[in-house]
Amino acid sequence: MSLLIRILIFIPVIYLIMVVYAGQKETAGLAVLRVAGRKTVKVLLWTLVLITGMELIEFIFLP
Amino acid sequence: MKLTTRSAALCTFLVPGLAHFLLGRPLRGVIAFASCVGLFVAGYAILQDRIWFVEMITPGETGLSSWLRLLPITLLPESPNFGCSVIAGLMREADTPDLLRQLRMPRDYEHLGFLLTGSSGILACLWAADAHWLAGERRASLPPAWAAALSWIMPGAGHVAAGQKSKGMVMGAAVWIMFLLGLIFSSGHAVDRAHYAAWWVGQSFCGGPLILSSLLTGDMKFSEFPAYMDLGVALCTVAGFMNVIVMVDAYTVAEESDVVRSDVLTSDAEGVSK
Repeated sequence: MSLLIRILIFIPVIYLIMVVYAGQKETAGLAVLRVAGRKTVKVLLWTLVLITGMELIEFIFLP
Repeated sequence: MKLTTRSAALCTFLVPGLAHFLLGRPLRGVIAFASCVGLFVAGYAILQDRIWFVEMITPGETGLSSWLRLLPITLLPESPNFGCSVIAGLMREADTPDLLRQLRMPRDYEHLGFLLTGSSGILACLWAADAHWLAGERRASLPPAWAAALSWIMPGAGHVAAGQKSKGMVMGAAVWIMFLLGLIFSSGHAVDRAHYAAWWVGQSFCGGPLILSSLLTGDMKFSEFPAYMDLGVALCTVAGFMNVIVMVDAYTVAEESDVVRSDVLTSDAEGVSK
């Protein structure tokens, strides 16, 4: 599976999970979708940070 | 009869409907008993000893794990229907090479059998939550456990019934899409308890989609092994756990709407008395 396809699956899956997560704190559907979008971006950024960190560790310790 | 909330829930796990009888709700008690015991018996009639094939931990003949033969708590999600599970455990025969071979043999309509026995366990949990609510002497137009049950059958329906329509539709759609993605990636083979017993436990929290997929795709034969089978199984299981959150939230929404309603009634009554 190419990296592009993996990312294309990962983003909507995270968004769907965040819809349910955000739903617990909101009462209206639109608000849930909005908050879920923000949280998805946050999770994606953290994922990027973690992957970069792992790549760095690999680069430094496993030449 | 007065029951504590905890004893009401425990009674329901042992004998579904008993707590409802003791709390003066005989009709609900009969429905609880018929739904839990009826589903388990119907499923067991199809599966018989094959049910033990999907046990999480296979009990030994001696030692500590042999207790699992009498108290099959690792038979999930049936074990919350504890009375039925224990009776099935008592009827279990000793492990002989012949029996162990037979356990591995697929039965006709076993997807339906696994669905029925599994559903009985989930329903036992929901009836226990209902008994817990009733024992707390609280009343609501939509009992919270019913909102959770609605969300189990149709993700998001509990919120719709409790008054949060748009949120219910959005959350329900998220669960459905996740489950359907899982089915698409696995070419429809993700819901297969005989092969993916542990994953199926998670999927069982997504009642409606599980019922549909068990009935429609359960008997499908493999023409070739799907390339993304593992991804499909994982996504369906994630959908199940997402639906746990949806069910708990539906319970909370129904519970809180009752609190708000009773607050309004109290303030209205105070206004009238002044």
